[in-house]
Order: sequence, then C-alpha cells, then structure tokens
Amino acid sequence: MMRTTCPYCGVGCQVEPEVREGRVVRVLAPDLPPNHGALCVKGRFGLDFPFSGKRLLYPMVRERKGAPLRRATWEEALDFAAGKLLEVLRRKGPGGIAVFPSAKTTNEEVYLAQKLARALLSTHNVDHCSRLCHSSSTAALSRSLGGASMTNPIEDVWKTDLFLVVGSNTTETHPVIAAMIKKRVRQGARMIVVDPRYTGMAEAATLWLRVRPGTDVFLLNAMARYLLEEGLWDRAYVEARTEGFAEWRASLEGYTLEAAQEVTGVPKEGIAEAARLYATTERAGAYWAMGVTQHTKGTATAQALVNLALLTGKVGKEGAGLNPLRGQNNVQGAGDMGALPDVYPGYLRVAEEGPRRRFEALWGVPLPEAPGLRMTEVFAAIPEVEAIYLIGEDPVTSEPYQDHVKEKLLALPFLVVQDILENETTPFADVVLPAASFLEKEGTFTNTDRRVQRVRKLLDPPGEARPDWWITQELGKRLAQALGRPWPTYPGPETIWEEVRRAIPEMVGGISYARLEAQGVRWPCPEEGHPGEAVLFREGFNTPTGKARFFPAPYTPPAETPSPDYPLTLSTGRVLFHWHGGTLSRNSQLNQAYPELKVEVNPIDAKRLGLEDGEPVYVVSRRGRIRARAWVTERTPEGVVYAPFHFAEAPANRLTLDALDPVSRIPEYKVSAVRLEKAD
Amino acid sequence: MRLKVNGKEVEAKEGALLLEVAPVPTLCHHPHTETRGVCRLCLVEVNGRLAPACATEVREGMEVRTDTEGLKALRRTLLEWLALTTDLSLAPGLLGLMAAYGAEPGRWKEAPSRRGRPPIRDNPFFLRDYAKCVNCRRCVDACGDGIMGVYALTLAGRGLQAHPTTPLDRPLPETPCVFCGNCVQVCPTGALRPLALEVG
Amino acid sequence: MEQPSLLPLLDERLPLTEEKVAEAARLAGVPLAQAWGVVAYYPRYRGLPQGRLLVDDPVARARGFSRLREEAEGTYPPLGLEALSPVYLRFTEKGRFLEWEGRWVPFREFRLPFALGRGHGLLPPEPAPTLAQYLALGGLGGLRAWKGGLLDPGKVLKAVEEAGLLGRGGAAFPTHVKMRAVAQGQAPKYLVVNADESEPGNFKDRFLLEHHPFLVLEGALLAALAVGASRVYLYVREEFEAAILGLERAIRELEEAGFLFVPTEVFRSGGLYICGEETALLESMEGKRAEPRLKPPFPVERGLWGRPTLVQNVETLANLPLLLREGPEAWRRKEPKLFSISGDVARPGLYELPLGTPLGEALRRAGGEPEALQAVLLGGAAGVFTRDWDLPLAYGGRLPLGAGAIVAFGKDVDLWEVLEGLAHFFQEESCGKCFPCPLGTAVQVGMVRRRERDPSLLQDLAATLRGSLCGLGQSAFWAYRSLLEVEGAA
Ligand code: SF4
Ligand code: SF4
Ligand code: SF4
Ligand code: SF4
Ligand code: FES
Repeated sequence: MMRTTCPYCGVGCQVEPEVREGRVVRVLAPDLPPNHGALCVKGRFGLDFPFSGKRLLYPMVRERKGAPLRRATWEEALDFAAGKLLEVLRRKGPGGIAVFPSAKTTNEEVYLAQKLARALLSTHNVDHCSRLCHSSSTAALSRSLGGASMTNPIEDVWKTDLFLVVGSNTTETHPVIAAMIKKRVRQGARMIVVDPRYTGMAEAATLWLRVRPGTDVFLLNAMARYLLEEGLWDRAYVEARTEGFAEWRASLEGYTLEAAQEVTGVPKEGIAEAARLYATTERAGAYWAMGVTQHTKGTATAQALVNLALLTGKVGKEGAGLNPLRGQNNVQGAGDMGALPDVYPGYLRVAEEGPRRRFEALWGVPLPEAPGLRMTEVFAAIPEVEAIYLIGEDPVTSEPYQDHVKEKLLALPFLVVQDILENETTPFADVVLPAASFLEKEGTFTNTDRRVQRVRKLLDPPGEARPDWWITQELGKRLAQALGRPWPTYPGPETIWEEVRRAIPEMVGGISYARLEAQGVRWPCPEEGHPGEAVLFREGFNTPTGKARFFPAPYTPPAETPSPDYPLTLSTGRVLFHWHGGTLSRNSQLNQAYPELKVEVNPIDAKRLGLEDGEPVYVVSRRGRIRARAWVTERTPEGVVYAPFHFAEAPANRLTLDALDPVSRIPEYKVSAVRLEKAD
Repeated sequence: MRLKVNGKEVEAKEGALLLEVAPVPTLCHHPHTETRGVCRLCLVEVNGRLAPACATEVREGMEVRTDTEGLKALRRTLLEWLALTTDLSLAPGLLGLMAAYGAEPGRWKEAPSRRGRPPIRDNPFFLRDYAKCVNCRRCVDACGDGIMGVYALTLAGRGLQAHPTTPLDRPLPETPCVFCGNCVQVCPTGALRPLALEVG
Repeated sequence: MEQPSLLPLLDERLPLTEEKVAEAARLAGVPLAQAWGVVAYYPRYRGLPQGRLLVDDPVARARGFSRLREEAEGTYPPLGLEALSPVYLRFTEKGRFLEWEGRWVPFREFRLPFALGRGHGLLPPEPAPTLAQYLALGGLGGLRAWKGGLLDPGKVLKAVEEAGLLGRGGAAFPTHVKMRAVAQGQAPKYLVVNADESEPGNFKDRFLLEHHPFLVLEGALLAALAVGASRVYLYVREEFEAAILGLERAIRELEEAGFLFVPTEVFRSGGLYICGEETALLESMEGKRAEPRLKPPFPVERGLWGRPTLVQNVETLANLPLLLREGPEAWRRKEPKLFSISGDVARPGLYELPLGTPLGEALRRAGGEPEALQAVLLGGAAGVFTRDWDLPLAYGGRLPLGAGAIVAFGKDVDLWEVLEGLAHFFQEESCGKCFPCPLGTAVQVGMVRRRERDPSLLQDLAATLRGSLCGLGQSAFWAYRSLLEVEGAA
C-alpha cells in the first residue's frame, strides 16, 4: 500500500489510503513515527475531499472587472496572468505585487512560489497563513532562541513527567499528540492545563487553571515572579546560558500572586502550585497553540512561556522544552522554505548581506535588500498593492473582520487564485488556476516537530487540474522570458528539492528523497549520514552570542472589553471535525458529524438570557452578526461564548476585530465583545 | 541471550517477546494496543508449560516448542469453534489459518451462535457488525487505555455473550467517541469497518 | 476502601437507573464506559430473578433435577447448601429467603446448622460468635502474644514455613512463599481474605465465617501483621449475609477490645463463581469486571491497586492461631483439613480430618458406605468423579483435592445428569475474557447433552480448554473426562 502524509494538521500523521475505483475507501496508519498507527477523524475519514463536487476542474479568467469568470485553456490563463503581473510590475514596481504561498502545499511548491516572487518579481512581499496562527510564537522564539519550532520531538512525550499546556485544545486540534499526552498522564505523568474552557485536556489534567480569556501572560509572569521569590529557579542555567535576565527580572515587579488572582481569576494557591510543579519537575515540557498566540499580546504570552522555561532551565533537555503545536500540515515547511517577508529559505535574513549573496549566486539574479510586507499589511495596503498571487488560501473565511476583507478584495485590481476547491474567495478572482490535491502529486511536507515526510501521488488529478509546482513553474517561465531572467525547468518535485538542499545544506542537506522512502527525517540534518536532530539547543542557542535572551512580556488588557451593549466575550477556535476555513473538511464526510455552527454558552448566561440548549441565536458584535445554535455547556466559563470559525455561511470572523499584535501583527481572534440575541 | 525454539538455537534481545522469535499465529495481540494473552492462539510450550507468546518475555535458556500435537489440536479446535459461532467471512487471516490447520468445524455438530446479532449503523463513518466479532477487545483497548483514552467502548455480558458495546448502549454519536477510527484499524475480523467499503 | 470503589457505590444505589450509574462512575472517578461494563457484567445490577428458585447444585441434580425444577420459577447457582440440598429460595420485594423446615428464613439470619461440624483442633467445639465466647474457648492467644511482644513477623513467617502450610482454597500453594514475597514488598500492602466460596460442594469457609468469625479474623490479623499489610479486606460472598453481619460485629468488638491492630473491613463480593479467582477478585474490588488478569505479575507483586497483596483463603488463615499456639511440629502431625461431605451419605456435613485420610474412611465418617456408592465428585465442579476409595485425601496426589468437597452419589443416580449440571455451571460462569473457555464450555454443554463419548473430540476439547487463561476454563473438562474413565472402569 502507498504511504503518504495526512494533509490536515501539523502532526503529520503517516497514512495509507486504500483507493478503489478512484475512491478512498479506507485509511490505515503504518507503525511509523510520528503517529505509530494512530489517526484522528480527519486523517481517517476526511481524506475524501479530493472527490468533492466543488473541485476546480479547469482554468478560468475574468477579462475585465465586472465580467463573469469564463473557462479558459491553460495557455490562455497563464499568459493572461503573466501579462497582468508584468503590467503591474512595470507600472508600480515590485512593491505593487504580493505572493502568498500556501502552508497546505508541499515544501517544493512553497519554495518555488517564493522564488518566483523574489527572483522574478524582485519582491519580498511573501507571506503565508502562519501570520494568522503562530507568528507570535515565531517572533518570541526567534528573538529569544534563534529558532522557531518545537525544541523537542513529539516522541519526547514519552519522556516527559510534567506537561504545561497553555491555550491548546489539543484533543481537538492535534488529536494524535493529545492522545499520546493523555496516555503518558495515565502512566503517571502530571499535566497542568491553562485554559478558560473545560476542554478535553482540562478534563485529563492534574491541575486545571481556568484563566479569564486573554490573561495568560499575567499568570505566566506571576509564576515566574513567584519562583524567583522562592528561589526555585535554575541559577546555574540562567548564568551559563542566558542574557537579559536582570532587565527582565525588574519587569516582573507588579506580577504578584495576589494581582494575578485578581486579573486572571485563578486562585493564587493554584498559580503557586503550578509554578512549583513546573519548576521542580526535571522533565517538564511546555506545549501551546492558538490560545496563546491569537491575541494582541500573543507575542508577549509566548515570550512569557519562553522566559519561564529559561528561568527553570527547561530548554535543550530531553522530555522538556518549548513546543508550539503548529496548525497547518505544512506550516513548518512554509516557514522553512522562506514564505515570509523577512527571511529566505532556512530563516536566513533578507536584510543581511551573506544570505542575499548566497541566493543571488544560486538563482543568478540581483535581489532586493529591504524586507517585504506581511500578509495583514498587504491587505491594508490595497490598492497600493495592485496584484496578489494567492495559493491555497481563503482569506475571506480566515481573516478577521470579514466584511472589511471583502471590501479590500473588491478594491484589489488583480487577483490570481490557485486552489483545489471553490471557496469564498474564488468569486473575487480574476484568474482561477485549478490545482491538484495531495493525493495527486509528489513532494514533501514538514510536520510540527521538523520531520520532512513524503507526499505521494496515488491518483491522477481530475479534469485539467495540475500540481501547484507545475502551475508556478509555468507562470514563472512566462515571467522569466519577458524579464530576461533565468528560470530552470524542473522535471518534477525531486529536482526542486535538490535545489533546496543546495540552497540550505546546513538545514536539509542530508535529506534526500531516497532516504525518505523508509521514514521521515528531521532537520537540522546537514549530511546524508546524519540522523536528524531531535532536541534543539542542547549546547548553544542560534543567537549571535549563543545564549538565549529574556525579554519582558508585559500584560495589556484585551483590545476590546465587554460593555453594557456587548456584555460577553467571544472566543473563536476549532472543533475536531473541521479544518480552518472548512474548505477541506466541509467537503468531506466529516461534515455529517458536525454540520452546523454551535456556539458554546455557559448555563448561567443562558439562564439570564432565557436560552435553551439547541435554540437558534444571533451572535452580535460591533462589526456584524451571525446565526448559530446555542450549546448550553459548562465547557465555557460564565461571560464567555465560544464559536468555531469553520462555517462560511456563519463566519465567526465576521465578528472578530482586526486589532493586531504589535510585534507579530497577528490578529486578535480570541477576544472580542459580543451579545447574544434570540433568533426564531 | 540465547534460547531454543523447536530445538533450534535462536538469539533474542533482552525484553523481547517470544512472539518475535517463535512462529505462531496471533489474533488478540496488536502492536498498537495492550490487548494480549486473550485469544490463546499464540500459546507455546515453555519448558513444558503453556504460555502465550504475545505476553511472555524471552529468557536465557528457555526451551520453546510451537508445534506439539497438543498445540496443533488447540489451534485447530479454537479456529473450528470460532467458525462455528462467528461470521468470519471478512477475516481472511483467520480463514487462511483454518485452511492451514485443516479445520473442520462441522465435527462439533452444534454450538450457540453469535451470527444473529444485527449490524449497528449509528454514525456516518463506520459499521459495528458484531455477528463477526470474536471479542478480542482490541477495539476497546484502542479506544481506552491503549491509544485514545476516550472510553467510548466497553464490554457487555459474560461468557460467549460478552461483546463490545458503548456506555449505556447508546449510539456512538451520543458517547465520547471522536471517530478516530483507531478501533476500526485494529479490528481483525471486519466487525468494525468503514462505511465507504459498503457502497460499491 | 482507601480509594473509592465502584461496586459499593453501585450497591448503595440499587435499583439502578442510567443517572445513578453515571453518578457512581463520577464518584468513583472512572469513565462511564467502565461503569457500564461493570453493570452489564454482574447479575445483581440488572435485577435478580424473583420468585421461588431451586439451588442448582450437584446434589439437586442427583435427586431428580427436572422434577425439582418444575416446582420452581428459576434456578440459582450453588450456595454452599449441598449438605441440605435440594433447597428452594424465595426472592421477593422484601428480601431473600431460604425455605427451611417449613419457614422462610431471611438470608441474614440463616447459618449452616452447627450440628454439621465436629471440631478437634482447628474447629473449636462450639460456635463462638462473640468475643467473650471466643475468649472462653481460649481464643486470641496469637494476638495477645503479639501485643506482649512475644511474636514478630520473623517468628510468624518461620512457623508457617516450618509447618509447610499449603493454601486451602484449592491451589495448595505454599503459604509462606506468598507471605514472604509480600513481606519483602514496598508499602502500602494489603491482605485480602478470599471468602468468596462458590465451588459447588464446598461449605467450609461459609461455616467458619458464620460460626467462628474471631478465629478467621485473628488468623487474618496475624498474617497482616506478619507481612506488614496496612489494611485487611474480607472479600465475602455477598449472599452470606449472616456471615457478613457477624464479621462486621466481630470487627467492632475486636476494635473496642483494642485488638484490631490493622484496619479491617468487609467487601461484598461481585457474586459470581469467577470472583473467587484471586485476580478476578482484585479486579472487582478495583471496580472492574471480575476478569482474571494475566499472570505474571502475581498479586504478591502487583495486587490490589497495583500494590503487593496477599490473597489468602479463609481456612488457611484460620489455621494460623492453632499453628502458632501448638507450634509447627505439633500442627504438622495433625495437618487438619476441613472436608465438605454431602450427597448420599447418612450425615452430610463438615468434617475436620487429617490430610491423608483415605477417601473411603472419610465417607464412612459421614455415614456413607463406599460399596453402596456409584462414585463421588471430589473437589467440586472443577473436580473429578472417582471410585478410588483407597485414595489418600492429600495434596499432590493422583487426583486433585480442590478445597475438599466430596459429593457422594448412590447407585441409582444418573451421573450424566450431574455432569450436565456442571457443564451448564461452567458455561454460565465463564467470564468470556479468553477464547477457549467461553467457546469450549458452550460446546461442552452440547456434547454432554448428547452424551458424546467420541474420545478424539473429548481429547481436542481438553487440549483446547487446557489453554484457557485461568483455572476455570483449564479445569472445565475434568469432570467430563473423569466420568468417562469411571464409566470405563465400571
Ligand atoms: S492528527 Fe493531524 S495529521 Fe494526524 S490524522 Fe489528525 S489531522 Fe491528520
Ligand atoms: S472511533 Fe470512537 S469508538 Fe473507535 S476508537 Fe475512536 S473514539 Fe473510540
Ligand atoms: S469488534 Fe473487532 S476489534 Fe472489537 S472485539 Fe470484536 S473483533 Fe475484536
Ligand atoms: S478461562 Fe474462562 S473464566 Fe478464566 S479468563 Fe478465560 S473466559 Fe474467563
Ligand atoms: S495473540 Fe497471544 S493470546 Fe492472542
């Protein structure tokens, strides 16, 4: 049976889909890392979206604004798109164009798309969706440690004696890792869960701290302050391996346990106990996800976790570490391959001369020096930005403050959408390019613990759909010809990967397709004989001094707080059965298990509003309203309603605000003020 | 360490299971679950005493026999009794073993049957068809202690009537089930199988 | 219990509803799935049968079972009443009763008639349900000696070892080996007294519990002290209501008198034959389905809640006070053993005889004449039919002694009918965990019913059942095979 990699989340489970008469009838999991035979519902029963009736089957173009999209040949569509992009380039210069590679596509495809932007269009306006989920983690981890991924491998779960899980509904977002953690807890490990909601993790926790939404950073700072006061920190580690300690320590002044109890709503004894457990357990690992990062203070919260781990000497050790759980299947790879405005592949800084020279030599073109715009900044810059090449993204569903996004797209002069399924954004496109799904192409994904794994072709693409790498290459060919720049023709993804290996040998030089036949290999892996690094920063950090740096992580109240008109706090997130904008999962049998939007309402709030379980309600914010069904449950605390964001017909992001984190520019998805109204 | 299997010296790693060095059929044991020692198909004789190869660690100097007349009779009979009571039509592995051991279920004449149990179709993803269930418990373990820690499956009844069920015998969507299908993957008999296999 | 256990929580809530099951699961801290598995396992959680019930034991089978059965609305598994069999029960809204001498005697008042037993060394000469009576008979010597510093763990273990006391529950395992293993284990450790006597034909433990609670408790406490157990649990068959009440009273009295050196409590059994298997017993105490565990690890290593646990039969422990009083030498000369003798003998009852007594002599003691008998069932359902009257009743002999049950059958008894009862019993009591046992016991019922004598089928039945996980399945064919041997010899 053919083995490939699950296209949903960052765990990167290995799957063996059984195809009969062009359909996936059963999915088995081999006994290999990272999942060792286990899967979640999405990998097991959700791999049927490639057979959805919503597949894009042929290219389409809109010749002028206002005209309908019409079917076109590949030649026509690619010529048209290339022509328009060149026109914008001539008129506006490189700053007028942005390219958004997709964290759902392969490493090879991301690499090629960012190369197209940088080498042909001369722009660093390259970004991807991790802006929307983990850029806060990336920001904090990069500046403190000089690396932005899980420091420890997934299998370190089996060596961990204490889990500190902050803002991660792991059982629903990374189910296979959650199952491993829960099993480890059954074997006797302890688990502290910091979350406003009574999630599956909270249920399995040894100690559950129900923080008020958006106050985690306060709690984490108070834990650090308490440990300093009690002398429960690792002085030797701090002295030998970190810097910036004194300034950071001074910044903790106001974070007493009493103040923390006041702000977070967690009893101070609980905070102290959590701190003590974390500090005194040798093998204690921190895990976190969107609950930490999707705030205006997302970077601060991730930073507070980093500080806490450094203070107690938890980084660079087995069974411990700092482990942000990445969302999209290839969000790790998208970053690794340079789908970011400030770095080349391998996180080499655009602004530095060495990297620029390296890529100029490799690609044979001069490259710009200044970093590009981030995704949220690109949207803000429309119509100064005139053209976007958008791959595998559905910003209308996934970006905050949806009505605003639609206005921006209407105002954008030229949009190329390359995707496998029709979605909420396709109606705004000027060119639609139908892409092949993960079952229909070769390549690699990199999962959340840096493991590069193969994606294999089991089926031919339907209609005229083509693999993303082929489309990008064809578009690039046309641009290169017109601009007189070099652009090799790659016979297939393996050749692209060979170029990646040459580009960043220190990271993936040792990872060949041949090696990946047996099982995935983790980077850094500089040579063929190298096993791939499991635990990062054992010796030193990737910073200029080799030391990790503390940064103050100040608490600021949420950008929007409840008011008499909008008395409730809305938090958004995911449910097990769906994936992000729902484009994949809602076109699969998964939809039958969770067909419509439910908002979680605490029984006390429900009673005050006279709401029954299952009743239809409107959730109303200053920016819009959506209709949903009330799910009256203790899972969510009093004063907080929770809505998943997978439903295009009732998009929770119509309600959220576009306030941004000052460092990472991540939007505030987790806290906005709303009210509920009965609907009939 | 060294031990003898059917008279031949073999080398084994400390902590290895007999299963890894002795050629025996298995049914209840699965590497992803903690179920073992239940079906008794893998029994071997260790220094003359019966022991399940899936639950016995190798020890220096062990004398292991996998193919005595008694063991062959045991496996053959067990397969016959399974075929007599249970619908094995979707268990190719067991049908193959039956042929290999020359099983003739008919010689036992009569036995109570599990075949009358109606299939349960209570969720969009997979079927629970306990007429085919041999009660190996792999599914229960996969759902609970072994993999998921979800506990949407348990066992009802005793003796030959014992079989997997859900808490309060509810339809799966009314249980903590998360439809991971790990139970389906480990089911050796096709009692649990994806609905996608049914159509077409 | 030190940890909340599901079974008592369910028992408090009878009759059960779905809400009550969920509540018990919550309080016990276990998944609902586990609670439901338990509810769907033990018969009493699904409501017991009501009306007039015939106790279906080997003696009733020998006395014309189908005719007796006609006068009842259902049957009930053996209850240690073989010496009185056939016996009818009455299960009503008001409780459980036994039809006895024309009266309905509630379970909580019924004790086996004392005239059954006659003591020499082990059995005191008369019942001692109160501490005063026990003291009057010279009891509590062991605990007093402990209190006075005359005994310590080393001395007790040494005495038990020198005496060579073998477990009286049926397996005949050397007691000191188990005790030493637990004594060497890490605290917390437990002692569980296996008082779940359910082997058809046996009533020795029931008798001891009902009439000599202090003897049992003294033995248990001495063992607990010797191995360093922090708690003693008496796992008593839940139908033995009078015994449970008596034990609870006795525990209180001992405590008041300052002799309860280790906290002790009664745990009501799950009410199934398999609960007497030591690991199934521990599972049920932990709030699970009473299904035997794979061994190793043995309970002495990982027993109750995973802690080192000494599981010991009632009669074994009851020997400790005597053994310590008289010394291992003197005890070994007697080797007292209790035999439950029932069926076609003039004076069915409990007999204390030295190990090694020939079977024929034991029968004669109970007023039975071997020559007038067709065979006896030795050891119970997990036993054998035999007519070897010279057989010494000792452990390690040609035939298994079990816990010492002897059921005698006269010449006109249809032994196949008795065997059918046993086959039915095994089928009913198979827990269903492993494969050979539930399948084989079901197949065996059909074979016995059609009086199957094909040796190759019987051989394969035996070869397969022998591979079962626990003793229940492993012994389920013994009676069948032995009957064919007895037939062949006749
Ligand atoms: S855990 Fe993630 S990678 Fe694994 S099967 Fe589920 S969605 Fe796919
Ligand atoms: S699909 Fe449901 S029943 Fe099966 S293992 Fe997963 S959670 Fe348990
Ligand atoms: S359903 Fe399948 S896995 Fe579960 S007990 Fe039955 S045969 Fe085994
Ligand atoms: S032999 Fe019978 S009673 Fe014992 S574990 Fe197997 S099925 Fe259960
Ligand atoms: S495979 Fe070993 S007992 Fe089932």
